[in-house]
Amino acid sequence: MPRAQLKMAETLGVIFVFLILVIFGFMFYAKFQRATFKTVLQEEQEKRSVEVAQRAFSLPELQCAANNIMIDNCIDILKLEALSRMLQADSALQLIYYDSFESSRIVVKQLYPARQEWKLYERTTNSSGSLFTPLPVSLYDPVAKRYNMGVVEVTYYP
Amino acid sequence: MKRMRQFKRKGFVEIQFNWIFILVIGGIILTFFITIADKQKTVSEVKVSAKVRSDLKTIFTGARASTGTASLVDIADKDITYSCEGFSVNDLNPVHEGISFAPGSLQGFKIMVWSKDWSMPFRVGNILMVTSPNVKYLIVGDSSLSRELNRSLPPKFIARGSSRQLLLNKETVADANTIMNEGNYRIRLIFVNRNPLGTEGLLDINTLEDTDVSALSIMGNSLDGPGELRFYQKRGQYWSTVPGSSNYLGRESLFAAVMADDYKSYNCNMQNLFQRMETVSEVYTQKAGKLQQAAQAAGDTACATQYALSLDALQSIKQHATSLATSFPEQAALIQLHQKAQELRSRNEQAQRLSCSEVY
Repeated sequence: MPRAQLKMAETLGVIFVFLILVIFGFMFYAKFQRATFKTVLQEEQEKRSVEVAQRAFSLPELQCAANNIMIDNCIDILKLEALSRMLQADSALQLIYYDSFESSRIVVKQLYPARQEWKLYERTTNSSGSLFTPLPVSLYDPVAKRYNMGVVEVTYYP
Repeated sequence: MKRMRQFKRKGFVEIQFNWIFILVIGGIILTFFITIADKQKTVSEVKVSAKVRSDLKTIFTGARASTGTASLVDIADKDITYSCEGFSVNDLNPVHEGISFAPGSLQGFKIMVWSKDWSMPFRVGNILMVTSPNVKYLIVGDSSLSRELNRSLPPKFIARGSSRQLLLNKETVADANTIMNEGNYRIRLIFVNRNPLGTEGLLDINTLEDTDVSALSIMGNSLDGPGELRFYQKRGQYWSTVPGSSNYLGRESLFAAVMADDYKSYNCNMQNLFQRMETVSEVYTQKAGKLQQAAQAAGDTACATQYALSLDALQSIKQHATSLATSFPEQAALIQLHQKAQELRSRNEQAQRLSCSEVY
């Protein structure tokens, strides 16, 4: 083999090895990036799930009030029944609430004195996973003027 | 000699070929890395925008849940634009978190987030007011109403650790002669019970773009309204009246008009607020109906009467809210709504005096 050809083959070999190293480097980088992205996405979804629950608790159309002063972590049963009925009956209203609740299922359960359940909102997606956030809440019955014990269950579909 | 020359020529060709080869391969490698760097730059810009967007969503959700508080939030220096659709960062989907009011553009590393509840007379929702400490708010005049407005807005500075930082860049000036441009990217002038016409040429703000200087004229007897709002925009050396004035009802809606420098976004968000009011008043109507039924069943006629009267007021409120959700800033409906809200408030107080459960 002439010297020039030998030199050429050597150069091509160096370039080939260099390119292989670059490709491997990028493959590792992409894999690492994908793993980071997955973690960030998961964190983001968990955050959004809590945000949905937070929004449900801060709605004046659900919160208990005493002379227009809102009581934290308390849901008025009569308001809950009314909003739940309205949301079941009106799909346009459901769309308005999509801004707050996104794709989720919100169920309010009374645990004491009697067991009772109200489905407030439901809009599911085909996504395989879901995030479940149960939050304890006081349920105020304005007719009996009594506070009951309950839980708000938010199932968020990312 | 001939062979020597042949060898020399061959060597010369080989060197030339090597250089061309190096140039081509070097060019390819360089292009490859430039492309990668460019892609990474785009990805990183999108990543920062997405982070800002996500942060904004979290900040606004938290602020919405805690009413009455004004806070200073650190944020990446990205130009955030605002319209009725929400807050946009680059070309990403806008963040639409409830009812919010803000200037058309937010710049800088900090934003002020102020949440106030809007009640008429029951709480309809928390409205979010967002601005940058780099936007200057100048309240022109020295009337009692302008002083009250200045007092009611968030403080100029906020304590952060051992230092104090600018929260809302507000100032009261006796007249427009004293206005100076202190390097703010936007200036908003607020005139109480007078209009800005006649102050042309007095303003030392002519270096700013027309879109960055706006004025609001408040025409009313109290901050709680109802009152009239007139929006003005700088056009060269003059003030131009933005076609169509607006109205406010409740001081929170007046603060919202101060923050929103565009009457379109103000009116649009107020319509959204009345749309919310329609839903909330329907919830209260159903609640009042249930309370009335329960009082009647228990033979409590005093409470049943209060609930029946509250129900009437609530139905009227709902009717006006439905109309205002599309017709805002229609003044007649606003005034009637205000009257019905006062009626409902007195019914609720009466129910409280009679030891009945309150409607709201």
